[in-house]
Amino acid sequence: MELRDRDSGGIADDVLAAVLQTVAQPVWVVDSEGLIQFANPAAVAALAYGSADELLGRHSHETIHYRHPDGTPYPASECPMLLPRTTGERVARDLDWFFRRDGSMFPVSYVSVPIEFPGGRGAVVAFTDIEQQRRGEQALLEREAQLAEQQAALRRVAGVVAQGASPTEVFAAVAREVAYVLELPLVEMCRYEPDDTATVIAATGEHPFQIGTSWPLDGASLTAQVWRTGEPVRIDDYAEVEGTIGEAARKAGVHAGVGAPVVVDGRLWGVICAGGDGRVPLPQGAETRLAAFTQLVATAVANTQMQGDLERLADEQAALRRVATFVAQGAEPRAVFDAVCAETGRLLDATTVNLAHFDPEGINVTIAGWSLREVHVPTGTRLPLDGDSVNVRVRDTGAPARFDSYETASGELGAALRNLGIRSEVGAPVVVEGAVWGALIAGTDEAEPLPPRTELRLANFAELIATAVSNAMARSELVASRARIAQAADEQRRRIVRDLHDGAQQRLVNTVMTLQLAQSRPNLDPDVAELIGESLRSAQSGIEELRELAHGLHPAILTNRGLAAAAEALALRAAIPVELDIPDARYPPSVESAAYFVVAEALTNVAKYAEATVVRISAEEADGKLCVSVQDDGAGGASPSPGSGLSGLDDRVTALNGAFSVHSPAGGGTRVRAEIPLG
Amino acid sequence: MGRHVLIVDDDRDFRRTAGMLLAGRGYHVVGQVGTVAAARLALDELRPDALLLDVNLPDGDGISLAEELEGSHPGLRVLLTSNDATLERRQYVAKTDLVATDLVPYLG
Repeated sequence: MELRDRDSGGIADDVLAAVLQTVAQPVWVVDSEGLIQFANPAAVAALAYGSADELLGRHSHETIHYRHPDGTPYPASECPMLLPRTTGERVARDLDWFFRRDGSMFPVSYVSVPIEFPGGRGAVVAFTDIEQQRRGEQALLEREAQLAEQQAALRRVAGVVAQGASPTEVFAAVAREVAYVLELPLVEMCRYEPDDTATVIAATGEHPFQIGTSWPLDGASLTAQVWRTGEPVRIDDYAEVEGTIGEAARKAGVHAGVGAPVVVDGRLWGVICAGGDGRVPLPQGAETRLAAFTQLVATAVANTQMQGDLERLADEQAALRRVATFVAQGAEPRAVFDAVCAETGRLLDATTVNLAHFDPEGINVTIAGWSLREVHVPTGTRLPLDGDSVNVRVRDTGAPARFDSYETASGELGAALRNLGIRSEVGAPVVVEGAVWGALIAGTDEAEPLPPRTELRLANFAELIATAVSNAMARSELVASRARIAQAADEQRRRIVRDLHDGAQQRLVNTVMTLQLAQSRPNLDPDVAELIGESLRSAQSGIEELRELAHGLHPAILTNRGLAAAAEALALRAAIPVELDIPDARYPPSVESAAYFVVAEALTNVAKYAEATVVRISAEEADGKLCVSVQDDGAGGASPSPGSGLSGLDDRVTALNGAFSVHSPAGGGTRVRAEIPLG
Repeated sequence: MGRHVLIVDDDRDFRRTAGMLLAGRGYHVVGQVGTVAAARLALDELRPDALLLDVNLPDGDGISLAEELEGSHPGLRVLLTSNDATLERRQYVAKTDLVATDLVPYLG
């Protein structure tokens, strides 16, 4: 018990004093003069005195409360702690500053309550050292500021992302902000590659890990550890870190660092690492703070991937549209096939694209191809569909398929591809009229197979091929049926002519002969002779008319003796000189017939319009076609208007899948030309 | 005693008319056939001096047969006939001109 005024207390005072001795709360008592009359051990300890004795009797304000925290004097008259003595009111302060014995200050909160002493009103002061608490608050404030700073940094990056910046710009912004927020000067961001390396895609600061450099993932570097664990990693001392990256970092003066994974769509995509030269220790929790940025990078990556996907989709649609237009224009199948192969190859970043047709005998026929580096199975190659290859899989399943490695594929096809350096392929079926007609196949000579779903994208193009194939089939069917109709019509004409010849004409000829015989009888009645003469003339003109008719339908000389003889007969009847150069050979009847009518009609036109002095008619066989040409030196300017003789020829020649043309510049003569397939 | 003539034509009416014409000119019609094949047989059987030969026959053409007979039957006279007025051959007369033609240069 250290109360000086023992008289003032009783048992109650003793109990109070005993309690105050033991409580952890620092408490002291001042008398009406402001002199310390009591200080409990907690107060003595808080104020860093050796014992209560050093305090007792001293003026409390002058001892522990004499200055403001900024150093200015604190007059006792202004001391709120002493106020209860005069006012009788309780005073509480959340923050004030006391001096320890050594003169150092510490923050306190206190209550001062009035206490009546026989010598006048004093005060009991109970205080709490709040330094610890304030330190905690300070840390909280700092943490808050840090978070705010980080938020601001993240917002800045988010802004860059939102502006649709390129991935490179986003990554650079992230690297910059990470360096700023973590106060670590060396930052790099890497993408993990399928071949177990990391490629730097953004960097700040002076270090060897610059954009575009590639690093093996050996040893225990940040990049390697994150790759292995998928977790944030911290290295406080690079001295012991093994591996290529660790060594390079050490050489570059990197001594400590943190790394955090970038996860895109659930897959470890890359890493962000931040390091320092070791002069300043790594901030506490730096790896966790770094992780906050990785989410943003992941979003940026996902965004740009989505953008990439959209662009790819747009490219794909454009390519499909180009090919579809081509198909719709009725382009030659071969041209469509080549176009599809090329468009597909470019779009899918393939090395080679082939169109294969599966023929009924189980042979794979390469119909068209495109390649980046002149490595593809040549068009026309026929290989058996045996062993294992993407072709076999597509044929067997009728569905898109992939083949990720030809290294050990069996079969001739697999061997051929292996020899060409094709390492993997994807394929989609070309289905025509419900059957697998063939496959569109894209391959690569890269180690990495074409990305997943490539075979599905391929399928869109395969459908266009199927359309082109069925169009072509329908068209050739149409051409064939037109040719059949044309041939049937020719045959019909020849039969009618033969019938006329053997029938009506024969009858008339016989009539003429009989009448002539009758007319030659002697002593004929003049009336009868006149009647016979009239019948004879009528029968003869009947023969003439029939002959003209038959000739127009199909000249007998053409049937009997061929094109050269028939053309010669035409030439003999022509009004102007005709030069003939026609081989004395026989061709299929419909070909001879079409060629003959080309010559006949052209000669008729020459006679009617051309004012020519000579006509040259030639025919020659080339490339399985008979080419007939009639050239005059007349006025030119002829055109095959619909319904004209020339356009009738065009129809006739086209029906045989041939080509017909009229070249007739004004003043430059006219050349009529027909190419008629012999098969 | 006229020449012996074989008529080769697939038209029965013509054969009859031509037979009347030839008989009227003093020829002896030894036979009438309608095909190339029958003509070959009749040539050996009937040994005619001359042929009145149609250009168009069901199993061949008269022109080829005439050319063939020039080698195999030297001295055999051949007169080609047909409905066609335009055929230009040395031993040819269109049927419609037969009655008005002097046949001796052709058939002898």
